[in-house]
Amino acid sequence: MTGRTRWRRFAALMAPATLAAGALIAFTAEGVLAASFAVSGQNFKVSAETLEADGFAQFGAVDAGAGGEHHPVAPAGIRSATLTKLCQSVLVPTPFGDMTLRITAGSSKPVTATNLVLDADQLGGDATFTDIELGRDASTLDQVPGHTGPRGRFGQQAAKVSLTNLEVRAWKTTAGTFNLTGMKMVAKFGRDECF
Amino acid sequence: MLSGVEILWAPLAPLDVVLVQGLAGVASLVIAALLVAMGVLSWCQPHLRSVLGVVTVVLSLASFLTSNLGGFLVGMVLGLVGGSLVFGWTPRVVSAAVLVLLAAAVAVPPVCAAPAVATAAGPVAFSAASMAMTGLAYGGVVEVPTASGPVRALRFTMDTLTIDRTRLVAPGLSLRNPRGAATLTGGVELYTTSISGLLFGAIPVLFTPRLPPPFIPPSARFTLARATIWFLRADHAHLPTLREAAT
Repeated sequence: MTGRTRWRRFAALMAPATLAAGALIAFTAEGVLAASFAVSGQNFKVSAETLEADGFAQFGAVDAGAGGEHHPVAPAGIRSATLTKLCQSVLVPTPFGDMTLRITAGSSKPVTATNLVLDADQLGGDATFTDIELGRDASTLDQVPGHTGPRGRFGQQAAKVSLTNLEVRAWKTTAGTFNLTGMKMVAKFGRDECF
Repeated sequence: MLSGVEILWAPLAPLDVVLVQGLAGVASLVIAALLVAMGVLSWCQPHLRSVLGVVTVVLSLASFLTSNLGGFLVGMVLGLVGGSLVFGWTPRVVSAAVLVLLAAAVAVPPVCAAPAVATAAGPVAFSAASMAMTGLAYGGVVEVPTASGPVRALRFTMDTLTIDRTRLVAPGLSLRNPRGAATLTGGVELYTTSISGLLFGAIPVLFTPRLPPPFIPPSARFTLARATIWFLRADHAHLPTLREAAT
């Protein structure tokens, strides 16, 4: 009522903030910053045309639920990966109908990631493994540093994995670094998921 | 007690009968075929040895009446001896003397090697519409170091393993390959406490560490295969329609 906006003051903060935000987005898109993706209480879909990975380790379900919600996931760890046509989407119900939030990257230049962990409850694709071991104690997995499970749990790992038409339903993805080259983010009404 | 070599007499016996029996009629052919079947089954289904042994002996006695005095006695005697051997055979209670003899006879005793890594506390339930192996070798009963202590398991190695409609259910994770064949190649090692199926699509077999296979062909095909797997490795594995689900 009695105040007024001091535009110079506003600009003094707004300008650097805008620059910083722009830089963050640009750096993430160029892959300088690490990225993690999780939606509370909501699964999302990840797809890629190809995924070439060195070091793959996965173990049997751990309950990833929080606050009364329970859903099993089999965490899949990847030491370093190159992905093309990466897509991540989440369907958000709103009072005005479903809304899809979709991130795509790596259509022109491949996306690279290190120490990628997918807390997946479903994973599919055309898979080729090198030096695969199935049935290993999850606590002794050694293909992805730090990605081990509880002792006695079922585990599997491979020195290399190549997946085409990868489709994953995940509850969380984290990555040490995730170079999302050519990242695009789109939010729109309706169902328009990755698969 | 007895080496598999000795049981070979059982399938050999009816061959004799077949060769010598001449035109003695259908009954002799039937008995000869049954004797051959008993011989094959006693290889593949050692747990049925008592029944198979008795049946073999009875058939051999019958062959005396139906086919040229039991293949001029030779076939009948072989059948009687073979059947009795099958009846008397006991797996895995090998006396030291027989072991030495056996080792001398085979010259190269099987090398028993356990997997180099610790396995999970529980096994994986495996099933498939069919599985085909090449370069198959049976590596004996080995102790697999599992997270719940050592487990005695059969060891098989193979060059290739081709599986139709693979289904693997591990605690917490299931893997399927519903369409197209899954192929494992190079240095395939399989450690199992139970493997069953129809060998060559026809002969029901079940192998466990207590009932180890008396004989394994270098390439084999099983339909309706089931196995309890503790550890499986391969240099390469291709699963064209891999589907994983956390459970």
